[in-house]
Amino acid sequence: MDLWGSYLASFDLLLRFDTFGWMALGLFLGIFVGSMPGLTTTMAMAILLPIAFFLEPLIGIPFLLGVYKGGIFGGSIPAILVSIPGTGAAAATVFDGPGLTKKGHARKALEMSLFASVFGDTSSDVITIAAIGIIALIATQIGPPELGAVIILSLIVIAATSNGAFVKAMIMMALGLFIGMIGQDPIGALSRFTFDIFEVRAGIPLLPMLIGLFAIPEVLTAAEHRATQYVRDQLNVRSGERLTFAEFKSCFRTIVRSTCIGTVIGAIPGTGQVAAAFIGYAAARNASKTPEKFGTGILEGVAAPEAANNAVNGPTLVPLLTLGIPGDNITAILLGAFIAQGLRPGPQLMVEQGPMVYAILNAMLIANVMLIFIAYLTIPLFARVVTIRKSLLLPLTVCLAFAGAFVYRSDPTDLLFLVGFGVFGYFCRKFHFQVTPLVMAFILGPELERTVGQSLSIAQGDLLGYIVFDRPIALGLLLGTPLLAWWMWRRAVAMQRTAQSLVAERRTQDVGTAD
Amino acid sequence: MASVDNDSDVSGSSGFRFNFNIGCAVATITLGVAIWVLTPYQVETAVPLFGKPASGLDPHLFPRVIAAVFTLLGIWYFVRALKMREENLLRKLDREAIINSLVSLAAFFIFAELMEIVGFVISGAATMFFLSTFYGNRTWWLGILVSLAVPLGVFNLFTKVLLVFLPEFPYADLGWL
Repeated sequence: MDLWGSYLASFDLLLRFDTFGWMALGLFLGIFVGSMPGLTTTMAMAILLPIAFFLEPLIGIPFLLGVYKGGIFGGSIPAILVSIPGTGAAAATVFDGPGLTKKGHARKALEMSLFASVFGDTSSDVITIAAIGIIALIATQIGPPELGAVIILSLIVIAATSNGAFVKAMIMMALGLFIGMIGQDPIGALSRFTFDIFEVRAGIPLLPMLIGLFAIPEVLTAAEHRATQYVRDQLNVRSGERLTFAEFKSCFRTIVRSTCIGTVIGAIPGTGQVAAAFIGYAAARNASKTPEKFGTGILEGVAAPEAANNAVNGPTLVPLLTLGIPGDNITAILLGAFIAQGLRPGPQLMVEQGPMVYAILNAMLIANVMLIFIAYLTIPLFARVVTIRKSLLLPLTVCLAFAGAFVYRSDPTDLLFLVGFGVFGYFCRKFHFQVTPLVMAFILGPELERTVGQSLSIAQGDLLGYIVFDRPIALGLLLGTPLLAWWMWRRAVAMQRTAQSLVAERRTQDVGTAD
Repeated sequence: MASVDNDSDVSGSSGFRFNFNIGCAVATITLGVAIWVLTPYQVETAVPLFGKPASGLDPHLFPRVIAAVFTLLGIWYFVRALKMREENLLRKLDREAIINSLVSLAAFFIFAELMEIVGFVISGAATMFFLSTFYGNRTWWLGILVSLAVPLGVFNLFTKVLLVFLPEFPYADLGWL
């Protein structure tokens, strides 16, 4: 089937009431979690992943996409109302959102956040849909050596762009490769590092590991201090002033600029929404005729980061769907959902299941339309959610996490894996180790080993000679890896500096205002 | 995203000072060596067919590569750790945080053990009620309501909607309630 035919066929698969219903539920849950300060979208996706696992792929994956999109938007609600970003992606929204709330324009700011988010997300999704077919066709031309080289490149780039020291990220990557090695080797199905423990003969289970690494440390960190509520203020935005079309239009250039920034950043593995939000904000301020107004509470200051962080959503799926390589934690969880469903994202997925890939991408567009309605109608409700009690929410998270970890294999040992990885993730936080490279390496390790094994077989033992003389693309990728990793590390450091200078500037402004 | 502190982590030192990074580096090197040493004992070898190995790839190759990578990274980390000035956030935990974390962990383990004995709903409700009270909820009726409603809802979602197994109540026939 050609690309256009696959695209049209996707609608037959997608247009179902149950898909829409679960997607709406996902959006609702995503906004709920996003609007709770201290709970992240990644955690929500991790604990809801088991639900998606037991649904059909075209219900479960759109459900998770709904959680993802809802969560990224939901993070802006506490950022605007109480100056606490609900998720990391909303970190730049605190520059102008709370200022608007102080002026009595909270509702206006939330609506601007919603429309900018949906515009940024939808535009980047359209670009993704247009580009993915061509990228996938190119991807089908590559063989095991090139795929292996791309995996190595991706792992090193993810380590290079992770927060913290590069060497620590590399160690986490090596640890992920080792944990992925436990169980059976992917070529000969031979037993490895099982220490005769029956429960690990099939390998370390993915779902308990993901839930443990992403949900339990959040709970333990939040439980360190027993405040009953994250926020004590009573928040009411029902009667606030609404956003006008003229106000939206006045920010349109900023939104388009941020969308372009987010789209480009989204295609780079490991960079993510936080960087996009800060760069989008900085670019809007630099382009403004009145940059001094940024930080005082203006709509452009909300529109810029929100359009940018949401524009990341679509392009992050390109490397996942075309090469099977996740670019961040969220796409790693989505990859987990695909694998749990028996689907293997990669070059062949587009060829074999083109309509399904397009159906998932179209589901993102439909989710955006649904987000407008759901979020617009529920903004007053979620403004109150911000004040929900932490003492009730954390046990709820624990209950869901345990149920989700258990149902994967109905094996009580998985609960111990859940707690074990949770404790490990908690210590990693305290010792400044990032778990993202570990998760990526765990997922990609077996594929890397398979491609290396296949390449060795094709090369008849002389892998070096084969790559140097017969596979120029693989050679180029391998040689380019250190240079690209170094360049991306420098870029990431520059982005971090921009973010830090903006935060420092904001603090100075706050001190000035307090004086 | 890479931290700006990458450079500052490793600069500005004034001689050797033991820090947690040195300990982690030593652990990394130890793990690398352990993987290398254990590989012959813990990696199964294919039975030769007609005198030839089943696949062209030596099953020890990948584990050995990982072990070598671990050891080399550990050495690199050790050298850098001598000058690193990262804060050990575990040491910053006050008494309340340590107690809360340990009690939460104990509750997790008890939940894991109880789930098989008394079923998901009862163990979940007990854990939720204990944790919500421990974390500061004093609205008893709300605590009880949420502690009962959430495990029941989750149980029915998985067993009735998604048709998968969770340890049942002792009273499995209560169904939807």
